Amino acid sequence: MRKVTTTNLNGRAYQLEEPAYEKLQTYLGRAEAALTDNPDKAEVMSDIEQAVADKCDRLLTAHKNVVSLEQMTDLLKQMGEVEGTADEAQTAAAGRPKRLFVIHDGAMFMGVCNGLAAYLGLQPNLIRLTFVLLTISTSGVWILVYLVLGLFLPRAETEAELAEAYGKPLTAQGIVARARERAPSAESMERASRLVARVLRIVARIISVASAIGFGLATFSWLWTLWQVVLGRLHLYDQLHIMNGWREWLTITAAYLLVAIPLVLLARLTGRMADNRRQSRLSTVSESSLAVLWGLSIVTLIAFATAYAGNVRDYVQSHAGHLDVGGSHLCVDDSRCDTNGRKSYERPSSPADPQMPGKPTLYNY
Amino acid sequence: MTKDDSYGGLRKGLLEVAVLSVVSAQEVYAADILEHLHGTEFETGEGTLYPLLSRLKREGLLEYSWAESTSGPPRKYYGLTARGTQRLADTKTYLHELTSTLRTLGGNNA
Repeated sequence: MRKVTTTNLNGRAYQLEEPAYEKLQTYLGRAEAALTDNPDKAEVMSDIEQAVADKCDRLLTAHKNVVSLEQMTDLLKQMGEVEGTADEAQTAAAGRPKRLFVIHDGAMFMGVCNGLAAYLGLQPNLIRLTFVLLTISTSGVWILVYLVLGLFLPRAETEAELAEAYGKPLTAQGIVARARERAPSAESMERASRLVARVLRIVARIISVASAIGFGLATFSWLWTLWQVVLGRLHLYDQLHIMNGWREWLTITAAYLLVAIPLVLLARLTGRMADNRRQSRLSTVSESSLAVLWGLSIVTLIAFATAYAGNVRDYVQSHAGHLDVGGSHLCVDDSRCDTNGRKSYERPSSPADPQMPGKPTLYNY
Repeated sequence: MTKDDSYGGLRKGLLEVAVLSVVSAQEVYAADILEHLHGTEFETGEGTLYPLLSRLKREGLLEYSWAESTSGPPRKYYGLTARGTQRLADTKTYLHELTSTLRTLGGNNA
């Protein structure tokens, strides 16, 4: 059951289902846009309205007096898009201001570089390379700029928005032209840009493999460190006593995530660039959750650092500039450490730990 | 003739000639033209035909007159002007020349 609306086509009333009416309205809107520069626009529009009316007449009988969405779709397909001439499309393009959007279509990650490339009229890969270089030279801070742009720029989803992003008119030709530009066609690519693309792909592959290896190493270190905790080799004493147990676990894990997540994201992003693959909906979801997890790990680390900085300071002061972790003594404050260093320094022992230095011990809480 | 897309540009360019040919035979209204083209390589819809008719009229190749219809509002009946007749004849000659040029270009085996 759909609502019905009445519309006037060249002086006669027709009853259309609401979605059918909307469809017709957008069709006529596009027709009008395509005919912008046609001096006989009004006449052609009225002829087209009349043609729609004639076709509706043929569909309607005494027993059926409403045009359905399906019939309207079919009818407009028969009519075909109203075409302007190529010249008209060009003039319309010249006078049309561009807008900055995020363009998901053909994006590698969030579509920021893609949107910027459309806005500036440059190759998306060029912008991507610039962003990667900026990220490296700002030791990662530029990523934040990317994320902010990705989250706050409007997303170009409809053909109308895409037309605005690329500064092209919303005509059938414009849509076809964009589709052609987006299609990965070796012929349409110029030689130089093909070479750049190939070099970029190789660089992307190297970064991808390197970050995957980095991720593997980080994971190994994380597991190994946790194992050391289990063995009691990372035991903390006196003022730092409170950090043992789940706090130690959590800190180590948060530090691991802080390093590992950017590596995973980098590996995936560059892997996609190397394979010339597109971002899928699934990977968007999983990568967004990873980004959230990364944020959480930062918050955790900051919270722990603020909460226990005092304890660390007290500990170092009361232990002659040393910090003791498990069996190892680290001099963290040179002005306080003894000249003899380790020899004259006795590892502290807590009541629950009456044993030899280095011997694994676990506290009971 | 195939309806394959690679000939789309060719057909599009020649649609004008096809329309002029249809109109040259008798006075017709737009739906008649579409019906004549239906099933041929030049099959098209109102969306393409109407802007084309308006351009041909502007160029003075076509003219129309209003005629009462038994069913519905009056219709535009299109006919060729003298210029239109001339243009159709010229274009047909030119097309023949093009075809024979293409024949001789590839040797005489075409």
